[in-house]
Amino acid sequence: MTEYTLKNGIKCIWLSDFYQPVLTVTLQVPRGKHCDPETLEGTAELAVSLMEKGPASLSGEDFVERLENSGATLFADVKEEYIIIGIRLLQRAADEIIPLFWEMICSPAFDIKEFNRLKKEMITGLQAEFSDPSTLAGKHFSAELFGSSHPAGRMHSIESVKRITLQNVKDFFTSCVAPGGCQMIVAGAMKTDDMRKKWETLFESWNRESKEVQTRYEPLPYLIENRIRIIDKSEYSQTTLILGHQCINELHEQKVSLAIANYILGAGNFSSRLMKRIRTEAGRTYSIASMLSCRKNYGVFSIGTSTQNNQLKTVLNSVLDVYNTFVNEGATDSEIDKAKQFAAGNMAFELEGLNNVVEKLLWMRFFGRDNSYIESYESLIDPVNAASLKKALHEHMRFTNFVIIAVGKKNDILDQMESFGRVTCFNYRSNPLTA
Amino acid sequence: MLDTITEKILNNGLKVISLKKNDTPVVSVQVWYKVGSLNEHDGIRGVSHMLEHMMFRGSAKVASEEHAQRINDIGGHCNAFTMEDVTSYQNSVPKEHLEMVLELEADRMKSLRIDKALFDTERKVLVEEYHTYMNNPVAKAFLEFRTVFYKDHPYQISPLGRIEDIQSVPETALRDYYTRWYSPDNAVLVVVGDFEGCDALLGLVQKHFGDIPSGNSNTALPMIPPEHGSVWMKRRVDFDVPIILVGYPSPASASEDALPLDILQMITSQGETSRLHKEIVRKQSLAVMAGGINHSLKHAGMSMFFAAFTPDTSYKKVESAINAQIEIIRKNGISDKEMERVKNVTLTNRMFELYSAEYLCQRIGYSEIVDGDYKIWVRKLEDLETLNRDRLVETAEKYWKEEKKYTLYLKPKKINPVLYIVGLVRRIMPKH
Repeated sequence: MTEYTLKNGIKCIWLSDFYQPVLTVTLQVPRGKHCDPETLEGTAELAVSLMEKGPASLSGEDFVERLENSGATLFADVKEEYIIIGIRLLQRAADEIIPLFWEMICSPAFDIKEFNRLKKEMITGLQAEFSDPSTLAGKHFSAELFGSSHPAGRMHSIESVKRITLQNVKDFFTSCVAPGGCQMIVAGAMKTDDMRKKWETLFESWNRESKEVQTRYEPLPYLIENRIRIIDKSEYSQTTLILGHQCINELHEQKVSLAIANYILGAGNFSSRLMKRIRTEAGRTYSIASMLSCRKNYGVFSIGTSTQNNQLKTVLNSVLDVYNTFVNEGATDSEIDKAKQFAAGNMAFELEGLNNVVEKLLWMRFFGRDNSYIESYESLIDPVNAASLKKALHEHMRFTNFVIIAVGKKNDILDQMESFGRVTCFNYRSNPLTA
Repeated sequence: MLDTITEKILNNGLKVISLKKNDTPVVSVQVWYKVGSLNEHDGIRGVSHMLEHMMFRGSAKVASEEHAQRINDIGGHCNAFTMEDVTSYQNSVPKEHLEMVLELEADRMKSLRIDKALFDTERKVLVEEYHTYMNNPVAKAFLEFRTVFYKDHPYQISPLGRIEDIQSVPETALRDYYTRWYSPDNAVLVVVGDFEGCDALLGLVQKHFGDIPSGNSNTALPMIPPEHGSVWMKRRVDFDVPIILVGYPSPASASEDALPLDILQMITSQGETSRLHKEIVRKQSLAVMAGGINHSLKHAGMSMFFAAFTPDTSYKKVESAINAQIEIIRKNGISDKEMERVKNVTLTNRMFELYSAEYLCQRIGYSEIVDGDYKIWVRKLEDLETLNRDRLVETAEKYWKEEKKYTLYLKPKKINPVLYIVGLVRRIMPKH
């Protein structure tokens, strides 16, 4: 593996792997959904979808045919803080496909017909989400926790997507998708020197300035009361629940302690306290898990589950009891040891196969971590003990108030939810931010 | 690499299939039992899935949920699923823990405990799972569709079962079901990953599974192919996007026609170069998305096509457009270019699949039980080379018959008036 910065600012990793005769090229652009212009949420996703329709020199149809005829597959993922665009292909197709892929990155066609089609597709997808209780709960959770002044609180809606024009997409591309600050990994069945010789000049031919992106946000105000929403879905026999609060960012020094704590509380599947209490012992849910989502500049802790309408209050009380006990008392040495063993053992799976290695490397570099992060991972988690874990819990998790979202039949669950505080009810079609 | 797969049958009938792969220090261990919802009858609909849950609730040497906890605690992961023809238990762990997993799987194969109190709690979990599924309006409508499609056939009821049976089936029925079906001669153990060597692996397997007695499960069920006529169904659902689904009876997965039909399905309905996407989505702008899959099971299957469209579009037009594309393929077949594309896409997918021990384990196990021989999956690329276009036309004519077509139209209960008007205006306005 060799790593250096190209003349145009792309930090490039060349990684040889001869296990199979394949190659991947993956570009990470350090700007994502959070760069959507206000009221035009969804622009980043539309821009990337439209880029995938190919370069100006080919019709969308011809482009996809050329890729698929050679067996190549495009992939893309638009995250909050970055965008991934890549291609997987057979090594033998590299000479034809990689220049085509790069042309797509440098000068996408942005065809109006494709734009209209993709916009319609996106709106239809958003309509379909009205029947997905987890998605509804997640959107309302973000809107309630962050509000419209924080980019994490603004998510695309039918209204915002309808407002987006082709010019908005082009503007986003011009200002946000540029080589400066990008990471790229070229990996697969070639010697690194050969890869460089073949494609370095091509990759350096992309030149464009990018705009400065605001990545620091004001900290959220502390929750002074439970902020509760019911999203009314009158057909549902079961309520989907999300509750949580703000938390630390990825680079915080106590992140490792809280990740271990999160495993013990709710991320550790059947080893977690929440799963044990709510599913294994009480049988009141099929699934329950907690999640610690840490970005560069903020983080969120949440717990998600579902249960039949008539036992919602019981389940919510149990969840809060497990949470409070854990946050106040901390974990046992045995629980911490097991969580650390999981973290250490699981690293092998995170690095299984070319795609996983590429994904992990890009994630690490985005947060400024070099390869020593993997090599010394065990020494990173090793110092976590009962005292440090409890300290982290007390400093960052001891919340008495939460954002609580329940998606279910209002008539069945309103009384139950009111015992936790004042409830605001929403129609499921409402925009989570503007309703 | 796949030519190094080895197989061995122990004296008690347990078939062991293994593939050594040492690019990552992990190993996947899966046990596939030849039993699923196919083997159920009225009164115990859902029992295979219930037993799958109880397999995590303890055995002679393992406490309730300890199996999953021990796997998690060393950085691994485990799961299970129940299908029509098979129930599968899957574990992936760092390589040094291979023996622990074999021991855990062997213990629950020979000595599962079905405790009434634990079963009553797990029953509640299963009821919750049932409701989670039923809160999805499209999935719920599809369950109804399959009961019509597979009328009077064991595939009629999904592995999810019936709620009344889930709520009432006694634990004794589970015990009987376990005794009948969970024996080594009715199972396949698949191990893929970084283990020492085949002999050492077989030694460990023999050590832990070798003393489990054979059972007397009779897996050869009398199977009558489902009777099919043409059916058209319309259901109003709580889903804002109208959907048309067209299904044709397809052959058992071991049939010689299965591969040609899979290829036809790819060309017709998978990816942006497929006929449906190019014609219905791109050219005619009738649908927002269109796709399809050949859902092939051990004894029968369904070759499906679907399209999602906006409420201002006539479902009749969408349905006609799907039918027209199928008719064109039935009459004219496919091009050499399309055939080449299928080969290349399949090859690329296969190359990337080879990186994952868990995925390989799953493909081998599934193919061994559902196709009847894992080699059918292994030699798919070679078989593709020998397929010719005439064979594909014959297959399309044989299975995509108008008189055996099932259609399901999912109509939204409520139409969002704003979206309807926006869609209508867009349709009337001149296109760019």
